[in-house]
Amino acid sequence: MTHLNARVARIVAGLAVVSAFAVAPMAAQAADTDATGTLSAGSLTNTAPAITAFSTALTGVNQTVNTAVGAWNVNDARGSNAGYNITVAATAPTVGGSAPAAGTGGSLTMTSTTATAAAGNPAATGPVTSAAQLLSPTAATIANAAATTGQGQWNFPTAGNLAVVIPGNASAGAYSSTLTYTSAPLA
Amino acid sequence: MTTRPGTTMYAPRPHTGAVVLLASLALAACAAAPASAAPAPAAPKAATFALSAVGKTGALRLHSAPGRTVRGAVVVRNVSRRPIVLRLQPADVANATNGNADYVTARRSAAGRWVRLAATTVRLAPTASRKVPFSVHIPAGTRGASHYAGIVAFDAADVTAAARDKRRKGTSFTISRVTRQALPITLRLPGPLTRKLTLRSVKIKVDPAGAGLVLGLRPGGTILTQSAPVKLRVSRGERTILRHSSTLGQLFPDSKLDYRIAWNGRPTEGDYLVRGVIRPKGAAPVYINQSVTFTPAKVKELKRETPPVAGEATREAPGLPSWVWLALAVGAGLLLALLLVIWKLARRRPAPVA
Repeated sequence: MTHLNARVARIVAGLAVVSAFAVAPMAAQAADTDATGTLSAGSLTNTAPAITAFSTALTGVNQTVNTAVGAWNVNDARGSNAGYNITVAATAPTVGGSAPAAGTGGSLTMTSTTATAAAGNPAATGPVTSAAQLLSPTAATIANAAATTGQGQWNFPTAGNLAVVIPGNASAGAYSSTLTYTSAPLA
Repeated sequence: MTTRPGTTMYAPRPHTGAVVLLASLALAACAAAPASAAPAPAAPKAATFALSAVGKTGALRLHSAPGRTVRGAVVVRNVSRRPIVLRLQPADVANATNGNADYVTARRSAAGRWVRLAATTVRLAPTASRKVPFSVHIPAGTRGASHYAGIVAFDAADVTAAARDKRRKGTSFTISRVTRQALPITLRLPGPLTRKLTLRSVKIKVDPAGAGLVLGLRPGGTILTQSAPVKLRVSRGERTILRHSSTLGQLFPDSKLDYRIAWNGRPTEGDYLVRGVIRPKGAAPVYINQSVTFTPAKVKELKRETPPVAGEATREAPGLPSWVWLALAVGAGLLLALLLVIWKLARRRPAPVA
């Protein structure tokens, strides 16, 4: 009986050892597995919209021409949540590269659209669009993302408008003006 | 036997009407064509480059002292699939019209003059990047605890295209675009940090876009103000003419700004009371309680400068809005139809009296 008990004890001990080996890998699997990787910072970039060229007949009095502003976007892939802003400055219109011989009091007023998150951008709060801005060589802020907002890509759809006031006494010719879109992190 | 030529003549009457209707519609369609042909703006150009500070994702903050030189570096990266040429420039930082930095590269007169870039033209292969060192020398005797400058980068191709547009012949109005990126540099010198905002003036200004209430502001102190909510009301007697609420962006010291608030409608001659408050973050609030006069001269100026009617833009189209052309075409079609009916009736022979 004693012999039998010893035998049973040996079998139990053997099974215990084998079970321990079987359980060990399971225990290893159950332990935390570290997934390591580095998310390196991307960049803050922006595009500038195309603005439709237009022609209009001079009427002898000031007139406003509304021309469409195309889509554009800003992409904050820096991963810093540091915020940014977008400004626009406009050069004074020129005719054939020179200041117009006649015509005073023209202006450009830009109305921006509300930014929408690009597909695949889960960020909740986008850059805030400013009210209509009278453009001049001094920049005007058209979109502002405070810290912790505006991450990822945000699209400004084609629905904005640029109102161009043509002076009644303007000289005829090919006019041009350059809009500079500047994106910058908050200082 | 009585002949009835009229019968044959009037038999195709419904067809004539249809032809007239079709002609009218065709005429209207032709007139409407310029409006529908108004081109949508071209697709946005993809971003071609990025500018950032070495080892940082945001703005540059450098600590130094008068008479010393600090050094740093920026990285420019080509994010497009074509080679690009980038131009880099140091810039002064002034206030944009509604707050935030306006990077001024022409005729630098402030801290932008202290910045020297190791390269101002950088050629980059697709997806390539390059480090560009810079130095900032702070002149001896410089006062104030904070000074602001910037480094800007733009694609040279944008500027070439804009210059080409300037030389264009014809009669169109072309608006070119330049994409620019800027990196603000804060130079922190020893000294106390203070914030201040001063209201210099309150005026009603007239420009071709209409009238506007303009607040002349001058941020002071030795550090920028992060933001400044503005809340005000313009009234005449008991009547509220204008209510306004907005927030100015970052305000940089020692750079004035004229903040324009668009007027609802047209102001008339007389006095207006402007009451409100600007609350710059970290500085004392600025209370506004001022009477402004819209003089008869300003009334005349507004009448002279403001366009009477807004028109719609069409490419190479006359100045009249498209709906006017459509209405004229429909009118002409109807007139044509009426004339045709009259002509037919006039040619109809009276039926013989039995």
